[in-house]
Amino acid sequence: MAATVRINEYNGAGATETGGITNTNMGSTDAVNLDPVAFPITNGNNSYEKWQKFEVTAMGGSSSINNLQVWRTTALGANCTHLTNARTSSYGGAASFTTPTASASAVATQTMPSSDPGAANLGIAGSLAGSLTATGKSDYLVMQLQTTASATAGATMTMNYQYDETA
Amino acid sequence: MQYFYTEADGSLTEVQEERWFWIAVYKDGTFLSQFGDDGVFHRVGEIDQDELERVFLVESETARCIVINWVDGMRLIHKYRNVVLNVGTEDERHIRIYIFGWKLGENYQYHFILPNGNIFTSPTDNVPTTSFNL
Repeated sequence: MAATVRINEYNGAGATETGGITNTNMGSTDAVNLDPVAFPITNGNNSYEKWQKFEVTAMGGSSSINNLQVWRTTALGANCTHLTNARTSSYGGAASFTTPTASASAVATQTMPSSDPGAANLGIAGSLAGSLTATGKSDYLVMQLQTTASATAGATMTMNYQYDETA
Repeated sequence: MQYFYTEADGSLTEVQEERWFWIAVYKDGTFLSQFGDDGVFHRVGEIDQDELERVFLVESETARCIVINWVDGMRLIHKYRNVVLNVGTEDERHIRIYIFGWKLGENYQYHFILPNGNIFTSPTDNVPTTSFNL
């Protein structure tokens, strides 16, 4: 088998881990796989941060995993921004977990790319050049949606992920 | 047929056969295949790159291949680029791109083999997937 990679999410003060999440719905509560209809982001407010990691659960005979990339597709509505700590340069190193907040994130401070960034933008062991040579996890990927009072309701976004595997 | 990689601790990991696989041919006429006839899976790191004559990347279904005629000092590039598009939607897609090429000094050549069989060649690794029209 090829390497097995999944996305995990971390919630609550204790960073409760949920392995293999099925979506990245963002809303007005700190919960995994949340229902955005039940927990909408009202105009002028932010979503709760998402704290996630890539996890390699099996190497499948491969020797390394690296070059992690994340990006968004589909346009957000006006007056809404999607922020992250992912970046291809001036990477801030591995973020230390703090309880997800709906206040303006101190970690997710750069606009999420809206197309494939073409280079690693999420690190391993604090470096964009890092790699996993055994089962393990990436640095935290932190994201937040921020809106103004003029934001349009009903916008959606889609996440995309990429990694390289060397056998 | 089943293929296994022997880990450092002696345990065996079953490895799934790939759509494209490499065969390294040495100057003395011997060869090493990524998926050996004996069921042994070999990593790129096992290739003695100083003794190579040429390296093939072969499509298992068609036997179509890319051949690198080896020059002393070359280093082989071979990896898989895994792309997950539209995560969590009905249109979620898992795409595996085979990357095969070489480095010689400061020169690089990368062949990106796409799911539809098209081959995209570039002197750089950092090609956005949007270039591939996946």
